[in-house]
Amino acid sequence: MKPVIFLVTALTDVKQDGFSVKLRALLEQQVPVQILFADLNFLERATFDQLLATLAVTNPALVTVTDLFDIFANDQGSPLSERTRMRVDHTNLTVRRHTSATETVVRYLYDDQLLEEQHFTADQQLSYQNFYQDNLLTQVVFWGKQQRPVTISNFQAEALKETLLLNAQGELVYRFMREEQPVQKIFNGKDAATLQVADPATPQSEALPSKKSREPAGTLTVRNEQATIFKVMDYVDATDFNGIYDFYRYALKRLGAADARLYVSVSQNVEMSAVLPNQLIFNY
Amino acid sequence: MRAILSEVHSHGNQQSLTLELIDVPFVVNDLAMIFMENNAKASRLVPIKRREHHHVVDVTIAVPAFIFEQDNQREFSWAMYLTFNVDTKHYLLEVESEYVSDRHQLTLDSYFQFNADSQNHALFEIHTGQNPDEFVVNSINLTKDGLTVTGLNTINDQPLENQCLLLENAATATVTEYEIATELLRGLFSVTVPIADLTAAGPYNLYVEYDYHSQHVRQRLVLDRELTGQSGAQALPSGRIGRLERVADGRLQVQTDAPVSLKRKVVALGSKAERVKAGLHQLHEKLSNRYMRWLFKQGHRPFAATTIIFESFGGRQISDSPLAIYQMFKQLYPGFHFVWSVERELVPYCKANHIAYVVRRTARWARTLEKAQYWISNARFPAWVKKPKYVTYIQTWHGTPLKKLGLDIENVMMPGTTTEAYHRNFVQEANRWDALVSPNDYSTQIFRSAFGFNNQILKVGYPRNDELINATPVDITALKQKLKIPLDKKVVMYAPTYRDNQFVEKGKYTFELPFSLADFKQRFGEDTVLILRMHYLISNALDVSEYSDFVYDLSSYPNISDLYLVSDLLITDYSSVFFDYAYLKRPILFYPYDYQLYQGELRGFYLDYEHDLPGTIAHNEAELLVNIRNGLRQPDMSQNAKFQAFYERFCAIDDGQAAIKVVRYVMHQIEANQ
Repeated sequence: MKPVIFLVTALTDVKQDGFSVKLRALLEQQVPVQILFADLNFLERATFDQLLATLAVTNPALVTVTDLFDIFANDQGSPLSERTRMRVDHTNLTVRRHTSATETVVRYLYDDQLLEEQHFTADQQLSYQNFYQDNLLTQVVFWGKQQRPVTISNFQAEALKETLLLNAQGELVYRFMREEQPVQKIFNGKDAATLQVADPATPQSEALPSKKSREPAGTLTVRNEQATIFKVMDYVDATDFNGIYDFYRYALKRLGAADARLYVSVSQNVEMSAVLPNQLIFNY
Repeated sequence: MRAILSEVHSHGNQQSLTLELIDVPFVVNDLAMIFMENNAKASRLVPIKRREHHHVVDVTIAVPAFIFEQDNQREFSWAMYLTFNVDTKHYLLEVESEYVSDRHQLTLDSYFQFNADSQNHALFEIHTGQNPDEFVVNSINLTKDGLTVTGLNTINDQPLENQCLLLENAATATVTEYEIATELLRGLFSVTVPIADLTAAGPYNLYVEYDYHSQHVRQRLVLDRELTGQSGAQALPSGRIGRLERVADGRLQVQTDAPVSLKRKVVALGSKAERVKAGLHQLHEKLSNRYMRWLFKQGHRPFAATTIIFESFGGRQISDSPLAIYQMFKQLYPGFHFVWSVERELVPYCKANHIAYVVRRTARWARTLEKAQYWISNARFPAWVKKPKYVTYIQTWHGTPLKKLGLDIENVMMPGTTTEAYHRNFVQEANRWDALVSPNDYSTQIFRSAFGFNNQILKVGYPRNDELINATPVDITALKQKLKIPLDKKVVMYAPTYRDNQFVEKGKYTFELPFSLADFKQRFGEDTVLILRMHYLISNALDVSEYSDFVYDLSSYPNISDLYLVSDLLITDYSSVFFDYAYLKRPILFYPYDYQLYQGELRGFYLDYEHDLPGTIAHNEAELLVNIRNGLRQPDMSQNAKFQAFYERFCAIDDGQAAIKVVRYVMHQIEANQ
């Protein structure tokens, strides 16, 4: 069998039953599985690792996880400006510290104003920094296992606005700009609903419908949704990506997925298929 | 908004799928088809480029790309979706189909088929890892003529060499070989074991042998479904009863049961008498019940046996596509019950040709129509004929539309109706059709618009034209002999349309030939004969007895395709006959002697009459005679660019398998409803 790559773009992907069923089936057949963790929210990586440990418990050695930093760490990017990354002078600030079994949190306050929050792992490695203005979250710098900034996420009114992916030299390689956009998803049956919307509410009949009782031909269901989309800006070679799925395609290509058996979440099948025409894609 | 799989063409390892798009905007982004394998949940997207005729799109796929390694999976069932975007609207339509394609054998142990699920959504099914020792037959029937088997004679379009049928008597271990030399249709053989060869006590096993890729193959015959519709029992010359059986794994065997003894016959007679008595009682009960149901205006119950009604031109003929479908059914599935709905004057013809019939507008006709499960007709039934819910109604229609139809006619001038009533009746009738046969994309588009038709289109070509495509020169000679046409003379056929303005009173027409038969005979009579094929409403108004040695009035000949086949040139005006005749690639001459009147005042045309026709237009009698001479000098039109463009547009479905495709559609319905 060809090498297998699972694309994971969010924690919700991993929580689907299909993910664990397919992963376990492959591991039971001793098939090595590579997971591309392409979640732009790197903070979810720790939770992902915990979930994966429970799923791949039978044969963890067969599973390798690669994230976007691993793929692009050595690509040449653009230097960050001084203003891009927030910094707080800790001199004369009040420091508050809390240690639990899993992490240590250190807060820096100016009077009653929270300015920075540092999160350390149990082994005292800096995991991520939160920066605040007027007590509102404005930036998160994720450090990860590399012990260097990997991503910088900027927030507006505590909503994610953009995420910057850095390389091993701390240069900017990709900027992912988040937008909310109303979309309509229009489909004509329960099977199409399963592919088209994450939680199809179309009633499902247990009995096979008879010829005379099926829905009138041409009946469409319209679902209005607020879609989150990411625009991608390339600081490596100015590639014009047509959205985040086109970027996932590129990341998979860099990972060598052309010769691999690719598994994607069924809820993203339509979008991923569109950027990978004529390629056989498996769904979980 | 719908996407319907309407056609599949094979080009070696590639399959070309045609989708009919209904209410899908022309300007869309990212138009593509997604195939989703239902077992492994694997998918594949194929981008679509839209053609000029924007209501249909073509998708070409390579079959091997749809087979993959997955847990020893051998059955691949691909659902199909059409996807596209319009601004921020994302569309995903499950592709519909009631279309069932032929079984396409890929290798000795794999095949694929386009099918439909219970909700009439399209499925592309690939079966691999099949038993290579088995040969799946298309049909098998044991009749008084013998044991007839039909099946594929190709694997992935490669002909099978030295194919023969083997009949093995299991009791004596003797094997008889029958050469397979008859091709029923392209890709489908037919072979018959004479009934006399089944005399000895059996059972008999059946095998097929052939050479394929330098390999000699012997396979046991199997049927992959029940024997429904097949003729399975027959008295053998030895007095035994021959009986077809599907034994283990669908393998076919002919059992030969011992003759029934006199004692058992007497006992059986007694029980039969009891059954008849019980049957009469039941009949009485049934009639009473029927009367009650009638009183309460409730519907009928279907016959226990599958019954198919055929009707052609309102019962006035046994002809056209319904006849071609009927003949294919009789050949492949004689176990069903077939009944023709006919006018009373056709009764002698039906009796002479052993055709089961019911006479229209009789109580038996109404009862038979209401209790049958399938209607196949080429014209409309009267609006007062109620279609029960269990009936599947297949409308073959009777020609590629040239003159405007239905809703497209703005001014209907037919006695006894108004434009509004005509439109209303057309739409009501059309939407009783469960499937409508279409010969090309052009017709499909018109059928949708003119009939307001929303159901399944079977774009398979006209079954009546199979004969034109499949006929050989030997067949044509035999036809000429049958029609008593001299073999050494050329044949010109004149087949004009009927004119609405020839009404003098409801149902009566008048007609005169628009050219001189005397002139025609003088110019061409020495080496040419003329066939007249007039509309059935006016054929009785002609008197050509003076020219009996030169003119053949074959207006009432039941099968117009036979007349096309024997003709070297066709003259017509506005009749849609030229769409069919074009399949022969022979010259066509147009003689619209009343063109201005016809176009201006009557129905108008879908085509540009001056530019789109596949032949020369003669505007007067002199031009007609000149063009006949030119036409007879150019018997093959395939090198004529204008003609060829017409052929590509209207006659591209030329595989000669339309009838069997409609039969497959009906069989799919029969199996789904069982």
